[in-house]
Amino acid sequence: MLENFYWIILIPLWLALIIISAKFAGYNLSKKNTVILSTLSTILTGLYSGYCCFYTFFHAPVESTFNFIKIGNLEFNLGIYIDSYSSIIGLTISVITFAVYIYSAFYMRDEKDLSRFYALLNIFNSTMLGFIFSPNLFQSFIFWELIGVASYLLIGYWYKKQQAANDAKRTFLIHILGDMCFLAGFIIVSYCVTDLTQAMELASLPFSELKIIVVTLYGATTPLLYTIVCLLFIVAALIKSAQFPANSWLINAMSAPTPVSALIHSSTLVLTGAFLLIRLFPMIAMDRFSVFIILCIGLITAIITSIAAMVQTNIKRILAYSTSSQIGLVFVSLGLYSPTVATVYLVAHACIKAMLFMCSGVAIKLNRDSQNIIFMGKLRECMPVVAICFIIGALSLSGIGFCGFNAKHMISDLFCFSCFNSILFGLISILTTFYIFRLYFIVFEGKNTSVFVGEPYKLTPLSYKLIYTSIIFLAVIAIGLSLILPAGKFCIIYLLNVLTIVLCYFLYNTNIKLKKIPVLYNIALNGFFINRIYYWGETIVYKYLCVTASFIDTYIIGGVEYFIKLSTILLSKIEHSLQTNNFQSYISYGVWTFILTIGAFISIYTFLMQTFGV
Amino acid sequence: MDTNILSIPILILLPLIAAGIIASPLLYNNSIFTRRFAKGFSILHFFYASMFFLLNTTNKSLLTFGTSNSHEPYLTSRIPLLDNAILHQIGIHVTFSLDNLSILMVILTTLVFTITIVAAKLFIKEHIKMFYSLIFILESILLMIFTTNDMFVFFTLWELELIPMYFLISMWGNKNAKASATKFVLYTFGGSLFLLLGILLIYYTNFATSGVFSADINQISFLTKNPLIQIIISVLLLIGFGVKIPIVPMHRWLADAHTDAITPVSMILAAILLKLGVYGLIRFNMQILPLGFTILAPIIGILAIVNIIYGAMLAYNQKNIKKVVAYSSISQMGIILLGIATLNQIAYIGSVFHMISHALVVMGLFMIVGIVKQRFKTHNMKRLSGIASVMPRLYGFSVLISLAAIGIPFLSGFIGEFLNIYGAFNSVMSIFKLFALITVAVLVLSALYILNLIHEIFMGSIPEKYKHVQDIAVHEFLVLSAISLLIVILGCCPFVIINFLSP
Repeated sequence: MLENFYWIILIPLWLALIIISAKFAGYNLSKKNTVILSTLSTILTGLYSGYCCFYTFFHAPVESTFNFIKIGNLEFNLGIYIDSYSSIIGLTISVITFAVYIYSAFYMRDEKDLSRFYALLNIFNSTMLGFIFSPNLFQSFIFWELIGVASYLLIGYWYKKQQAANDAKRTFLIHILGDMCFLAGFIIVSYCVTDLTQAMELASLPFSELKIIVVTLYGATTPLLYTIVCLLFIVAALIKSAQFPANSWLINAMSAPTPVSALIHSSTLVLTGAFLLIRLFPMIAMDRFSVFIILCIGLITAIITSIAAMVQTNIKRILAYSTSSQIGLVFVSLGLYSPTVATVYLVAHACIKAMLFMCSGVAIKLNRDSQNIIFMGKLRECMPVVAICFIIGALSLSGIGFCGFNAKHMISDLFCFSCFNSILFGLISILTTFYIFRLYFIVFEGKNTSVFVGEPYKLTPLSYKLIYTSIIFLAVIAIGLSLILPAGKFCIIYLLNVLTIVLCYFLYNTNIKLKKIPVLYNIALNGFFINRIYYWGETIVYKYLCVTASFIDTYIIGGVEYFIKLSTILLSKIEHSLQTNNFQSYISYGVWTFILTIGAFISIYTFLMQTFGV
Repeated sequence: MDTNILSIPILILLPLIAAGIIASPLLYNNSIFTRRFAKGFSILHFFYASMFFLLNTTNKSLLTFGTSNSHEPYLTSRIPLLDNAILHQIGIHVTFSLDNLSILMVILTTLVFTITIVAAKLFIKEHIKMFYSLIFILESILLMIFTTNDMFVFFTLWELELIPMYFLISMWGNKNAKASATKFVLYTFGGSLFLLLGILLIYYTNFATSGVFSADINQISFLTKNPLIQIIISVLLLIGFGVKIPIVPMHRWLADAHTDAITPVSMILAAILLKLGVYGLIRFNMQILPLGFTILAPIIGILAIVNIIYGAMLAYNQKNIKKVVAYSSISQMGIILLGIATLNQIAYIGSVFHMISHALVVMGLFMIVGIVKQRFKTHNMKRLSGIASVMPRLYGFSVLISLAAIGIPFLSGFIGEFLNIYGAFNSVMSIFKLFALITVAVLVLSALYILNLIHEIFMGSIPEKYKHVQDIAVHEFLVLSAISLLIVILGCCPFVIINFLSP
């Protein structure tokens, strides 16, 4: 019965199509109606995934598919697959989307083009749910690409700004790199499985048959190929989840409107990579090396992005680096063979980070769209509720209280099995606490007093309602989650974290002058120059390859063309010069032509006779 | 199938009649009526052609892969006067027939011409009667090429198609158009020499092995097992068709002809004329010369890969937006060529699908470029920016069509690309697995040039002098929405075409 209602997750898509076609026809939906309809659609999807969640506690997973492409026996299916992972993540996404929709009504209220914004959000919501509930790897791939597209359109929402457009383009290109790896991996696995079992219905690699697929693949491939396939999926996942070599796109993506950052780039889109690995974990777990790679990627990302977050001055960049770093911890837990902990951490982090982004959005709005924290301060005095929610988020993120406490300790229980590991985890934890409370003390407390001089940004009563509804809703969920999850133990890291908060207080809330470490500061501020590498890759390496190709085209191939033209002219000139009006030479030309023609004819005839056997 | 309604001679000769009516003094110089007549006629013709597709649910006449050559089209008819006894003596039968591939190509042709004729109103302002009659003559010739049974008739039409094309490019194009049209004709003639030689060799060898003069494509059973002969003929034909596709060293005519021709002509060039080469490759190399084609397949595969990469790189480096679209065709044709060379069912269906999809996408792109040129009087990318803020509808269509060009799922571009790559990886020849992986890797190149194009012209702020440019009007809207709708429908319901082609 559940599988018959899969169209519910397509409701946002239909809504988006209606809004867009109405726009094309010249009819704009009013702002109020757009918001209400979109919120209703996400409530529906939320109810559906909530019911799925409830259902999967007591029942086996449900699957329903139909043929999308069918050639002979070869089938590629689409459909829906409801198990505990998909329904939990689906519910999380719906909840966050709900909060963001309400929040956007405040944040984007001055936009003329609000219906386009909501249409794009709806498309994104639909693609996201399509990915989460996908029954097989084929549908996962389809929605994997569509998620990238939806994110591209949302980042480029303000297309009049050249910066936003460029960032959208760069983000999309990096996402396409991930799509390629996914496609390559999919094709290899699908080929190996169908080739060996001759079961063409397995071509789209359904998750319900994953055990058979993994066993077949393991038997069909050499260990090296198996590792390569796993690595392809890992690369795809790390690009979507903004992990180490590809974490820079998340920073570019921050030029999107803040609600988009809250929805996509903090909680939902970055979750897809980890979710893919959770889904494929039975496959990847067979290969120790790949799992180790996941662990390494997670650790490296967690450390370097935390360091980068410590020195940023852009409020959204701090949170973006923080996102990479936290998803890094999810990768760590996957690297320790625990997809369950990874899921729990994903859910907890998604709620917290969406809330933090919304709080930061309030700060940005009140500061007249400036994102630089240097010019912010004393926000607590005018928005105490936001400050409290931010503290809840910050405490959760650093693992001191609320749902972050439970989730982080689940990871530390797994990870801290040796002294070195404990130190490493402590380091990451302290760095996290440091950057988030640095942010808190600068923005919400702060030494700055002259910040809100002049005409402040006017918040209407409705804006207050919208902000409080969305932020408190997520804060309540963050607190509620901590009641459901198993409680963690208090340990030494906890103490260190608290000490870090005190340190932050003294560094950023008193009159201590801070010195910048010259080289390291710059490296960290630029995010270890990872962004530059991609930029150079496109604008220098590829650009010059293309210039070379153009050169070859114009001068070498074009040169041959020119040579043929020239030689024709030359031949005609020679022929022209032969016309001498001299009878004797004409006779001799005639004789020679005759002899040569006959000779050529005979030799070609003989050749043909011999070759074609007549 | 009720053959009383569906008759091939009517199908292929109708456009000629239309051309005759338009060219006759009946219509005087009434341009409005000429346009309406052309539009109405082409739409009716398109519906007539689609009836061949819709009414045919049971019969299937598909190409087989491998050794078997004899191929039975399910609907054949002859043209009475031309198909006479004198020609029969030397084995020439002026008969036209349809199999599943032909039907798809015929429908594609009529569709492309319908859209082009509707779009032509925006671009063709002079010599209107001339334009429409040439277009209809060209359509008729193309339909005959896609349905003919006879190699010599095929070759004659192949040459004949250059005459209307030459005038279409040179008469309405920009100031370089005459040179470009000449270049196009010379290149195709150069290829035709090899094509004629190949066809003569097939004809002669067929006579030598079976003792009968026959030029019927579907009846030639190539008894010779001599691979050398098959390879020689295959190479000759490959050169002949390769000029049209175009395969890379022979591609120089394409960018000039596409850029200098006027938009509707560029649309026809890219959407149909390029497919002609692929069609020839399927009809001749794959159907008549399976042995030679199998041996040459890896080489064609390499050429396809070169096409994909080289075309994409050239497209990225252009400043002229129309050239970007022109070079993107080279890249996309590479994907189609790869599917053909793979020689299996999946990739074959993929490449036929991609032919249709690419025709739609490239028409859309040329349409957008044409509209931009009309409003802003330039093709130079560096002088355009921020169009999206004055033309949001055009921007919406461009995003959709360019996403289809990149190959985003649920748009038509994805199915073709995916099936081609998947089929190539499933090929029995292991080298094609490598080709498939390379093709996967270069898909990002298509994203690079398309996004570059979209961003340069649509994003950013609009210059002051263009603040008052109008968004697309009803007529442009209709054309673009028809193309977009077809792209979405094909992307969401690929089984319409796939079922038609799969056994």
